[in-house]
Amino acid sequence: MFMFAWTFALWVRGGVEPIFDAGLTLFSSDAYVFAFNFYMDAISAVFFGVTCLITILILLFSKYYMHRDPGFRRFHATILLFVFGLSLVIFSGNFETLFVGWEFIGISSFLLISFYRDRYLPTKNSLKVFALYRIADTLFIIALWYAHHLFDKNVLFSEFASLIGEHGNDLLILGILFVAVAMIKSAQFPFSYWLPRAMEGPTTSSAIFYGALSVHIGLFLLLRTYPLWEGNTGLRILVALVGLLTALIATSITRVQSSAKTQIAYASVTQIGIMFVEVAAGLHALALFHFVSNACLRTYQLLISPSILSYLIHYQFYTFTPPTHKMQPNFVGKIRSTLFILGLKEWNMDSVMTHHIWQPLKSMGQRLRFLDKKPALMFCVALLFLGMYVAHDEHASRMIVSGMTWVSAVLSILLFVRSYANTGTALACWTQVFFGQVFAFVFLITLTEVTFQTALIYLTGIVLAYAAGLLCLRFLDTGSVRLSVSEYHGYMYKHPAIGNIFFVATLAMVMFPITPSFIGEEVLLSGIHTDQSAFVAVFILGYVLSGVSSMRLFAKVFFGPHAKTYHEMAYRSS
Amino acid sequence: MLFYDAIFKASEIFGYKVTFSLAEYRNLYRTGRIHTTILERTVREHKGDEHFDEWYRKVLHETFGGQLEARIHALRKGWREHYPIDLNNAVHPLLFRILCSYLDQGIAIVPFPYENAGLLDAIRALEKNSAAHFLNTDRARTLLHDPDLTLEVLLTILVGKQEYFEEYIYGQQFAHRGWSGMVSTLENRPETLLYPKKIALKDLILLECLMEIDALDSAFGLNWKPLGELTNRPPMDIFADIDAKEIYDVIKIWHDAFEWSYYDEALMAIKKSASHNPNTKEGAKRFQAIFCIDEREDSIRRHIESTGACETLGAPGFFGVEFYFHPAHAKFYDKLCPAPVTPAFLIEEIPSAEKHTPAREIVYTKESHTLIRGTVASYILGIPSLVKLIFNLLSPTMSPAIADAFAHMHDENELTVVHEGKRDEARNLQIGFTVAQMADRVEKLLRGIGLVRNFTRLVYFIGHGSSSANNPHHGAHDCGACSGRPGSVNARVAATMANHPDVREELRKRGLDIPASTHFVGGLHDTASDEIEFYDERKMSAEHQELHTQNKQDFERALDLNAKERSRRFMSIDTKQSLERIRKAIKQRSVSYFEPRPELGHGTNALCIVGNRALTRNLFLDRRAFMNSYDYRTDPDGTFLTNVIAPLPLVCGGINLEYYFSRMDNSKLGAGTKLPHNVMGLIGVANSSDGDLRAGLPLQMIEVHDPIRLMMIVEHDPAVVSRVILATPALSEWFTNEWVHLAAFHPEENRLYIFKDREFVPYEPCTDETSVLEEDFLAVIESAEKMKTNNIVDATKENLRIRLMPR
Ligand SMILES: [Zn+2]
Repeated sequence: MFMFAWTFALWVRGGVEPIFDAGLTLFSSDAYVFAFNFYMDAISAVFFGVTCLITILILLFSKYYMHRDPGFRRFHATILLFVFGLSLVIFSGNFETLFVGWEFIGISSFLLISFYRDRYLPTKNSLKVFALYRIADTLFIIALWYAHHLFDKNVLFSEFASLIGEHGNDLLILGILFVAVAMIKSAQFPFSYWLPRAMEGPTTSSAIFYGALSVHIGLFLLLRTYPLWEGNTGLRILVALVGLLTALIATSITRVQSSAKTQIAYASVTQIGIMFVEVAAGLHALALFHFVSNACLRTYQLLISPSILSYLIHYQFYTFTPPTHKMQPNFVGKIRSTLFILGLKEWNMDSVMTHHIWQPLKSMGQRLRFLDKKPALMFCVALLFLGMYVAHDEHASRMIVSGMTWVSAVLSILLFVRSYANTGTALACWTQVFFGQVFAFVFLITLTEVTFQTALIYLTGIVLAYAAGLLCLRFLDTGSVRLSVSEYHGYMYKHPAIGNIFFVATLAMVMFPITPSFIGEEVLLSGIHTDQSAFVAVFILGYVLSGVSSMRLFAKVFFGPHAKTYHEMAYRSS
Repeated sequence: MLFYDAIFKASEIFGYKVTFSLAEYRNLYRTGRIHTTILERTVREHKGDEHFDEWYRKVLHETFGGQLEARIHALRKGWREHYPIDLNNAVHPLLFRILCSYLDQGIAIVPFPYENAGLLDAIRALEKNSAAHFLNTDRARTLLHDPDLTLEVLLTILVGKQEYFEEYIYGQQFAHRGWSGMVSTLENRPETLLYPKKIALKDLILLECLMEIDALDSAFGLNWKPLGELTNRPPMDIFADIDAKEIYDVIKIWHDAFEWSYYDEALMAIKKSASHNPNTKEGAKRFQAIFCIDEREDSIRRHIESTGACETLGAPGFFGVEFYFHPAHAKFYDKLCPAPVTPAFLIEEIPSAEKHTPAREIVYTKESHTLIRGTVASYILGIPSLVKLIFNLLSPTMSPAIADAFAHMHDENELTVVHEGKRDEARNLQIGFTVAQMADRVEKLLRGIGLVRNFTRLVYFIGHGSSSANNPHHGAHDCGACSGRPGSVNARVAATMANHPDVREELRKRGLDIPASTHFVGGLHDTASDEIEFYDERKMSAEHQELHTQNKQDFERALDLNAKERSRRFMSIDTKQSLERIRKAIKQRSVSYFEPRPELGHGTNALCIVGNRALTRNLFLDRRAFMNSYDYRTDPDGTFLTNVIAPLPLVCGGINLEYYFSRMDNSKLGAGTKLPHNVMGLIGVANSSDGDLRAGLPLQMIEVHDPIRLMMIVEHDPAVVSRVILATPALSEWFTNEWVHLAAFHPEENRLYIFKDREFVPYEPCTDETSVLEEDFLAVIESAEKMKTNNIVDATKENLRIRLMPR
């Protein structure tokens, strides 16, 4: 934080010109360099200014507000983690750095939404939001990979201008990917539904995240990548349309919502939609001002949303007139009725996502029960050795190698799907995620030349994660009934230390940035070429699923009401 | 039903936690909060001397296993066991949203269409002319529009077998007790809402059954079986009696010991205080002040008396005058009396030249959320909101968004206290009171508290209210003995009545002679900000005004000390600071957006003392006692005692039990921590956008509370008390069923009696008499420990022992 503040000061002294700093290089090989780079311009300055101001206010506010609430310290730690991630994003000089910050934001959001982790709804909703974030992250990785192939080097934000001329139309795909990521993170249609569901934590964290900072980060990404798609009129129109559509739909939802925070959430989404239009129209100064103003207003509205009860009741006491509304049984009435129902149901965004993406995956996974069996495990192990051998054997025929690629790709996806739908023991679930990752590894090494070093980095990451997770689960799995993932266990209540270890293991397992496995994955991914779109699809699916099912496993075991001892327990519906 | 039988049964039926866990009681014993002597005595009382050793061991050491599954949810769990669906999860979010939207009092911009038709009919009308639908499948939609739709039809589809119907409905509705409870309350008392809605619990059940059928149909088509055919458990009578268990006996012993460790000390202290030589001079007072019986007024009464110039009394805070109040310019009436009473009178506030319509705060308006105006708002209001936020953080001040106790009524507006022949025909209310009606009320009030002679020149009626900001639970800071609203109007009306010359004349005829030199003044004490406002000061004679100015200094001094005493429980205030700074800090709490504990409400309430102030004047009761003045000498045969006691179990016992259960199971019976609360439709709060309404008290209000039942202590001959109590069954059942404890202090014998099995038996406290030390107030307050965590074992340490105060 101090470092970033110092940068800020330097920038102001330096005459408000963009400054660039080549930071430390984390990993470097012939084909791949992973380095932290920093960059600062007016956009960073505005975002950073608002971040600092609001964070300081919220921390002051929370000091009194959160006092004596269980988890007071955890709350502050998570907020700081979030601010760190956000600052990284704001000052990032290349996409890699931005992505690392991005992931920090994602994980701290997950932790803040599930802040009241002994209740059911926060846990459920944190998983829901995490799944969407994971999709955004995957698209981001794909964008990184694509950019890497396109420019053949790590592109720096400071060099954007020079790149545009060279590549022209190839930038379209990159642009689309970034716009999609921005849409998810800024809760644009059809992803808006996560925003009200993210308001599970204390009012202060809802205010900082979903009123002010987190939800505007998509806007930041749009502004940052704007040079890439500035020249493409089609894409600019698309962004404007997305923004406009979101604004209209979110307004229709705002108008019928009867809970204070949900209403503010959709009001904020409406404004971000309009900011998207402003960005697409090239009105960046306006968009930035709009962001600042909207962030402040919504933060304030959320923070004082508990007051609305006494204020409005008191106000109505003096001014109330019963609403006069006559719905006519005609066409206008039909449109209004339809809009009302759609608005109340948030345009079915949540249920469409559930029924058309997550539910089918679950039912598919339920049909893969055979993967739980011992022979299936043995088969996997045997296949693994074969796969490693094949990948390493220079004389193996192309046929066998590509066969191996496909077999491991399919197996890895199947294992992830199975572990996602598994309602059996936690141990089996964890093992399936692990094997899924190992096969994903085999899949990647058959595609590319890897050095021993890279392979080692990758494998150490997941093997260590697996072992640590296994120990944790073994420790808990002592009762007569096996620890199952069919329900929430809430072990965080009884064994917070074990829970934290398992959380770190889960992060490594899902390739959280700067865990070894992430670096390995990045390097390996660069082996896929841009014309191998089927492999890219496999990778996307695998990455999303591994994240979602590992996090689900973690939540099932450690979050939710703890049933083993006699103490007060919240209702599912609370 | 007996208290313990009822709570253990409720626990098995609903899965509530109704007492502490065994481990918590044992910890309380280890830290000395439960006394050994009391524990031993309780074991003997419960189990007899012959089984003492056996049970004493069980109480201290035995472990009891077994985990209970709530009966009420057992049947519906069957869905998940047989189908991969979580029915509650599939139905609740939309159901809650529809309900909230239907009952909404003004958050949504578009009101629920056809809302006058009733819930189900409104949905029917809405669905009929819409391209989108709440129900997705054909069967459910056809059923919805079926004019002959009955619950039986739906339950036959869902449950199949009739013998499971009742169990199923209970399980379904108790899966969201917040909304079910709200709907059933509003069905019976729609007038609770400013904007009443037509709703019935049956509609809710029908709708929920339809949505369940819809959810199952969407998931499995028509290929699912009714729950009754799937399950192999026999139908169950949910409300059947429960089996006796040893653990219950052990818990009873522990809890009784927990309660009596406090009661015993309290009874001891009262006995000692009564015999303590009261060297206070009778009749030498400059003024009298009558406060609400509210336990929070204990401290200010003590402090104002400590100036030596004042005598205080306690009466229920509506001061015996019941009416509807119509504030100037308002569109509605407020009912200003305890909940069970239905007034026949209306008092209007006549607007004066100065106008007090509520100021508008633009950030709260719905317009800031829409597309066009919302955009303008988000351009313009952003920076000003930031500035406002910073100001509130640095120096909080009153604003329209804050619930202000003093804004309830304005002093410069006159009230229509005296009846002048006018009526409110629409609601059949008489505007104002006739002289006889006024005299009745004043007489009843004064005789009840024993204030029939020795009137001082000025007599104050001080009501109370509470200001707080950003607090959807602020209503819980007011009290049931007033009206659940600030008591300013009642205090002012009572004073006006008592000052009326014709009323004085009438009272004189009835033998209650109030000297002409005596003047009554109404006032309001804000229990959060520690401020007092007086009414109709301009109507006093010059001589009275002079006295009043002098008295106000005493009030100010008392408020200073009161703030200091309260500050010991607030982490952010250093109790050793100067009085000025503490007062400022206390005031700021009440208007600060980020302070979840502007005050602690009725937390820690434990006693209810009906008797002369002499009994308690020298005691430091730590704001834990409701105190109703009553003079046995003016009422030897208990004529007025019935009236005095009658409302107390309901008001004080009701408050006490609300705190008891919210403390014992804050997750299910209380509202949990209030930090994530989201205001739903201006009718309640929920935890997130999809959550159930939360009833009960939030964590921030109960963490200081020791959950013990109320101990009521009456100063009179036990024979009289028992005759009065047993004459009214509705009153006596509170005590015979042990929901409230009762003790009598015989003032002439100087002996204590407790009410057990419908009669009074003598009681000898076993607390060492010398433990009731005489201690200086300031020393006690400044050295008091603050709780380390809000777990009961730590939290109870913040509640101080009863002490004698030196005079
Ligand atoms: Zn009161």
